[in-house]
Amino acid sequence: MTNEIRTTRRLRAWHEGRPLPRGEKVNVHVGDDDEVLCLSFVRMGGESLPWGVAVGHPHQEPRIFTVPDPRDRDMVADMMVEVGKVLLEHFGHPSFASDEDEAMTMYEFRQIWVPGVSHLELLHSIAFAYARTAWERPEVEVLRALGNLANCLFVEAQRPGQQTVVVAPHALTTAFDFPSSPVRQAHLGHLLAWMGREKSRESRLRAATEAENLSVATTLDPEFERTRLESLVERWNAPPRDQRTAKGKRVARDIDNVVAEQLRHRHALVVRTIDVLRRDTRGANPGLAELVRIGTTKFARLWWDQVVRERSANPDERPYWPGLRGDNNARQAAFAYQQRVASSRQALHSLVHGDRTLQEEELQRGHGVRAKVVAVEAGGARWTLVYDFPSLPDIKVGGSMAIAGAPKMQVRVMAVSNSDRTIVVAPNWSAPKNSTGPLAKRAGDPTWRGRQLILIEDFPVHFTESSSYRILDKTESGFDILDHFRHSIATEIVEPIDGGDE
Amino acid sequence: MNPVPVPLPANRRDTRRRFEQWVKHPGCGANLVSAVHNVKMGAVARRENPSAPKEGQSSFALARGRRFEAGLVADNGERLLRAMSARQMFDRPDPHFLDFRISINGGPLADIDDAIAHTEKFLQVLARDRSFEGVVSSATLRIPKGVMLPEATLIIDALAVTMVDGRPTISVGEIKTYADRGGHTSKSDLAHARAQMGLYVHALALVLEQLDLADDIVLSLQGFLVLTHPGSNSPAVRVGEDLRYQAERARKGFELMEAAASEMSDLVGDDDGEGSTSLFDMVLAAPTSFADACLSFCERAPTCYAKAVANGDGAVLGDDVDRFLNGLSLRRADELLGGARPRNDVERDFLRRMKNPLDGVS
Ligand code: SF4
Repeated sequence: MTNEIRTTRRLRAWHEGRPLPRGEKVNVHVGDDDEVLCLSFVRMGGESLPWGVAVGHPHQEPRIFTVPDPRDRDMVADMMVEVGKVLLEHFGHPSFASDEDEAMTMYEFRQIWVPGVSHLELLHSIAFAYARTAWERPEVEVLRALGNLANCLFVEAQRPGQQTVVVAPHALTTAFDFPSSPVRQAHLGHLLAWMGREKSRESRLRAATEAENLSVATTLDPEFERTRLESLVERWNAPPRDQRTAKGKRVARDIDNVVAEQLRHRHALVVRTIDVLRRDTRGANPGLAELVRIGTTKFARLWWDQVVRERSANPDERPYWPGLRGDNNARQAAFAYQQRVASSRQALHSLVHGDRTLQEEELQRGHGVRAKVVAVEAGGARWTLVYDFPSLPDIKVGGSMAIAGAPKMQVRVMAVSNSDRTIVVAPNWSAPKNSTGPLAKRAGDPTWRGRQLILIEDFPVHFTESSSYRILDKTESGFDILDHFRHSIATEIVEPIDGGDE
Repeated sequence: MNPVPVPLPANRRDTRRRFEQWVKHPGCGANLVSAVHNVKMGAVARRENPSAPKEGQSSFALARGRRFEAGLVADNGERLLRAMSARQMFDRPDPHFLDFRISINGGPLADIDDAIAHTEKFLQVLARDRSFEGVVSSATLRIPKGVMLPEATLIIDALAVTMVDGRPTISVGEIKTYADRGGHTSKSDLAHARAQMGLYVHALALVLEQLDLADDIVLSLQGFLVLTHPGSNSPAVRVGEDLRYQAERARKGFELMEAAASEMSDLVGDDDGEGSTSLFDMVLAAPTSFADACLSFCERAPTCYAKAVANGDGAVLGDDVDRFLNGLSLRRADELLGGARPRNDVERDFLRRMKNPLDGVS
C-alpha cells in the first residue's frame, strides 16, 4: 500500500509538472550552519580512495584538497591527514580542537551532508583503509582517528531515523514527491533541476534530464575523465617518482583545477539542497527534536565514548570500535535487525504525531483507525468507538494506540469486532493530559462522545530494543534459522599481502 | 609502474556480455536482436543519434583491472595462490598453477581454440589423474549448443581444483577490482559477479556432460571472488558464494533466449560489435520497450526515454507507474487527472485508485 501511495503521488506530481510537498511538515532535520559540514568526494575510476575532497560549512567557501594521482598511496594519505583534521574537529574530537578552551567536554550534535550514496560508501572505504592501519608514517594516529570516525558515521547512517549523516537526495525525496522514476532520483542535480525556476513541465523535464549529464557521484563521467584528465595524469607520471613533485608543479595545478571544479559543483548542490529545505514554508516536524536528541546519545555511545576511552589509555577501559565488515555472526545480525526495527519504529513514533500526511499513510497501511467515540462508560475507563477507515485495520486486542497529535494519550485495545466495525478501548489517563486545546479533558468527560479521532498504533520501541539485547545475551538464539548459521565470518583485516600500488 | 598489459581481444567476454545484456531487459526486441547478432548498442545509439554520449568504462579503471589481473597470475600465480591459501582453500601447502591465457593477454597459448583444447584436455586428465590441486587461470569453454552466433565461448578467470573425498572438485572464481567491504560490498556489483559465475557453472556442467566426465569431476555450486582490499591492490578472496540459483538462472535464460532467437537469421557482427548496415537496421527496426533497467546498461536509453516521453509511456515515471496505469497512456492519465470524463472501465478504475481513500469517507 505504501508503494502505491508513492506511485499515485508521482503521477500527481507529473500532472502538476513539478515536485509536490510530501507531508505537512519537513521530516528531515537541517542543522545550523556551524553544526553542518558538507562533504564531497571525487575518485579516479577503479580506485577506492579519494582523488579530491571538498569540505566546508554551508555558505562558506569549501576547503578543497586534491592529489595529482590518487594511485600514490602516500600522497593520498598526506591529503587525508588534512581532511581528517577538519572532520575530527567538526565532530568535536578533543585531540583536534583548534581552540582548546572551546573543546567539547561531551558530545554535541553534528551533521554531515553528502551529495549521494556513493560518497557515503567512500567514507566506508576510508574506514577500511585507515581505521586499523599498522602503517608506520607521520601522523598515522590522525588517519586511524579519521578511519574510526568514518566507520562510525557509516554505521550510524544505516540506523533508521538518524539525523547525523544526511544523503542530500534522500533528504529531498523525503520532503517531496518528484515526477520522475525512482532510479533517476538518486541524482541530486536531477532533483534540484526539477525545483528550478522553469515555467512548464516540459522545460523542467529538459533541465532535469540535462542535469544528469553532469556526474555528482564520486566517480567522474568516463568521457570527461578521458578528455580532461588522462593526459594530465600521464604528464604527471612521466618523470621518475622522486622528481614528480619538483617537476610537476604546473601539471599538478592543472589537475587540481579540473578536480576542484567537479568538487565545487557537488558541494554547491548540497548547499542548495539545504537552502531549499530551510526555505520550505511547511516548517520542520516538531518530532525531529526527539530524533536529534536520541541520535546525539546514540552517536555519543558509538563514537565519542570510544574516543574518550582511547584517550584515557586505561587498559581496563579499552575502546570498542564497531567492526568494519558488518555483522560477524547470526546473533549480531539478529541484534542489529531488532535494533533497526526499534529505530524505525521510534522514527515513526516521533514524526507521525506532527504530520497528518504521515498519519494518513499509517491508516492506509492499516496501522491505525479513524473512529468516532460512541460510548464513554465506567467513568472513562472504557470507550466504545466505531471506525470508518480502513475497512480491515491491523489492530490486536491487548495492543496500544495513541490519539494522533497527542502521543501520551494512549488507549489499550480490549475488543475488536470487524463485522460491526467497533472497538472497545481503555484510556490510560483519567485527569486531563494537556493543559490546553481540545484534548485537554479527562477520559470520563462526556463530551468525548461523538468526537472523531485518529488512533495510531503505538509502537513498542522499548520492547523491541530489549528483545534485541536478549538475543545478544544468548549463545543460542532459540530461532532455528539463526542457530543454523552460527559460523562466523572473517572479522580481521588481513594486512595487504604486498602493499604497493606501483 | 608495471607496463599495462595489452587489451583483451574484443570477443573475449562477448558471450557473457551479450547474454548478460539480454538478461537485463529480455522484454525489449531490439535488445534481443543486438545480443544475438552481436551488434553493440553503443554503435547503434550513435548511428541513431551521432551526438549520443559515449559511455563505457573509465580508462583508469580498465587499466587498473588489467594490471590487477596480470599481477595476480604473474610468477606462476604466486599472489593469487597465496591469497587463496590464506583462506584455506587448499589442503596442500604448494598448490599448482596452470596458465591458459592466450598470447594476446600475456599468456602462453596461441589463441582461443588452443585455450579451449587445453581446457578440455585438462578436464579429461583431471578425471583420471587426481594429483592436481590448485588453480587454472583463464580456463576456456565452448558451450556445445549455441544460441549465441556463431558459438558461445566463455573464459573463466580462475578455476580452483580441490580434492573432496578423493574426487576432484572444481569451483569457479571471478576476479574484480572493486573493494571488498565485507557485508557492505556493493550489492549490485556482487549480484553481477555472481550472475557471471552462475553462467560459468552452467557452461561447465554442459561441457562436463558433453565430455562424459560428469561422474568423475564434481562441479561445486559454491564459487569464490577475488576482490581488492580498499585502498590497495592486494587481493581479498571471498569464498562460499552460493551459485545454485544463479546457475539455474543461466540455464533458464539460455533456453528462453534460444526460443526468442529461433526465428532470427544467422548473421552476426564482428568482434568489435560492429556489423553490416543490415544488422544495424535490424536492431533499429526491432521494437523497443523502455524500462527502469535500461538506464543501467543500454546506451540507447536517452533516445528510448525521449521516445517514451513523446509517446506518453508510463515507464518514464518508473516500472511501477507503468503497471499502475494498466495500459493507459500517461497522456490520457494526465487528461483524466485534469478532469476529463472517463470513457471506459479501465479509466474509471484508474480514477478510483488515484483517489485518496480517506477523502469522502463518512
Ligand atoms: S534503452 Fe531502448 S533499446 Fe535499450 S534496452 Fe531499453 S528499450 Fe531496448
